Amino acid sequence: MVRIKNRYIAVQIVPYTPTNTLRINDHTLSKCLLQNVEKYHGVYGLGLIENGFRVKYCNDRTKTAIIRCLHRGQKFISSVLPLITLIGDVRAKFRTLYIGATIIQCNKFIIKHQKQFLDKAMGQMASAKERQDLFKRVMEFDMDR
Amino acid sequence: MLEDHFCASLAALVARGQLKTENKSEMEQTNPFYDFSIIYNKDDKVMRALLNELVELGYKTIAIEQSFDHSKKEPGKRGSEMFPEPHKIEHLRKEFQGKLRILQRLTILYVDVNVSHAMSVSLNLRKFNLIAGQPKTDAALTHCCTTFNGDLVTFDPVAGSRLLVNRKAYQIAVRRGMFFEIKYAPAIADSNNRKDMIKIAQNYCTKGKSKNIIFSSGAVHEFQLRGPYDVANLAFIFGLSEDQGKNAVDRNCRQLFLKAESRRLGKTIMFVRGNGPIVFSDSSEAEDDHEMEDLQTELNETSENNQPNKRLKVH
Amino acid sequence: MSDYQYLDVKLKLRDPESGTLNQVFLYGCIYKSLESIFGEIGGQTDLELLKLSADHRRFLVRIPADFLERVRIAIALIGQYQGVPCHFQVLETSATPLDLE
Repeated sequence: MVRIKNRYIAVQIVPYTPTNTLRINDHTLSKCLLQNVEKYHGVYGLGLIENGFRVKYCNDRTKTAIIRCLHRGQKFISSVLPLITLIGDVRAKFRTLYIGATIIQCNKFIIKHQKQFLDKAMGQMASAKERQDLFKRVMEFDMDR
Repeated sequence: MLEDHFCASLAALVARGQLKTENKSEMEQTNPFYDFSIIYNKDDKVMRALLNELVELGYKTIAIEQSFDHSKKEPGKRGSEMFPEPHKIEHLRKEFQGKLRILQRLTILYVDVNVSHAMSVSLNLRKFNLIAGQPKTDAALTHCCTTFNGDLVTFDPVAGSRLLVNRKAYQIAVRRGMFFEIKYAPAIADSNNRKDMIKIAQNYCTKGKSKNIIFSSGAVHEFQLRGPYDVANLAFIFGLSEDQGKNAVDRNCRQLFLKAESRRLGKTIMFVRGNGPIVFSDSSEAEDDHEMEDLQTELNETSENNQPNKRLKVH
Repeated sequence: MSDYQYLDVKLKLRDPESGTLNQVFLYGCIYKSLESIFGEIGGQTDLELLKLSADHRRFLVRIPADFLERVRIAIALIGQYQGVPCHFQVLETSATPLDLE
């Protein structure tokens, strides 16, 4: 039994104008990525990455996302990421945080990253209610897409 | 012992000049390069232009493709012949004798597994050299890989991208000696199909290292044909290695042809063909009415009785 | 960058009268195909048309050796030249300069 090798790329979306939320879901994100791969690597790149490609996780609040792709297609995606300036209709750039071979490793990294984000954000919150709300929204992990 | 006896009697026949064994017998010998999918066209002029182009590009063995949509036929009619007769292409064969070896191929489009039954009772299918399956649904695709009694799995180049073979079915198909076809002409005709084609080919690569792949054209007119080396070179975008790419227009096709022949003839260890009217010494008058042009006498049944378990494959 | 490959390509057109064969159109045709298949990153190469014989419909191009596969694929998958169905046939590839004979 040969394993199908995947790569999980954790990215952060950095908007040009700082906002709290981005109104980006995984659908718009994957559409944007595929469009850009076609632009820069042509139909060859698109055909190569398209099966196995999926946005596994996308958090609006912390602006992080996990992209899954096949091992072979990794370089096509990672080379396109720095060239993207427009996601959906938001001017933003990608920052690659981590590339892992299993989603567990990627998860660990994202959780660590989000804890850091919480530490920073908690100080600015006024009430305990808001704090709890934020905590819930940041740490929600809905991986079953 | 039986084998010895059989060989001895064969040798005797050969010595008497009644049977000619040819090493370069036309039946089994095929030469590279191969293109197993030339779409049939009623117009002889188009066909001729296509075939002339094929000769010029260096193809030696080609197959003219005929498709048949099984799902459109009403079920219920059992036992009757479902599949069409092969087109009459004898005149083309004669015209290109020595330059091209023309085979015939039937592509069966189907949805459900009922096709197996229709295939098992069909006599017309035997008249085709190659049988290809083109499944339309996922279930049919799995069936095509696992139990389909054909030689080749192909896909609809226009809307076939929804179907991706899964790993297990692919491996079973490889073990059964089925081949998978990638057509390149749709990609030339329409750039929208290119992505689907690449995607399907890459899927074969991820799921099973692109084993048993053949390239064929699927060309409708002669400007959709490309030379064999150019085709082999397409391996680069299809995720095959250079060697696999070359094999996809050469050795794999040969294997596919042999497999198809063995399916057509049953278990065969030796294939003997008379080069004239066969006159057996004890039944000479019975065979007298054979005409000179009746060259296609096949003696494979004799060999079948002698050695049912062995199969001779000439590579 | 001394590793170049030389391609000898022949163009077949359905109606030879239509469509003029000149350097600009050829460049455009090949670059368009390269870009659609390999995109802006993968399709970027210095293609140089060395010789063009409009009478014989043949031309020689020089490409970096790394791009041989890609350019060959791009050339093979060109289906139309000036809206006319066509066929680019690569007659020869070589690492040494070729000449139209």
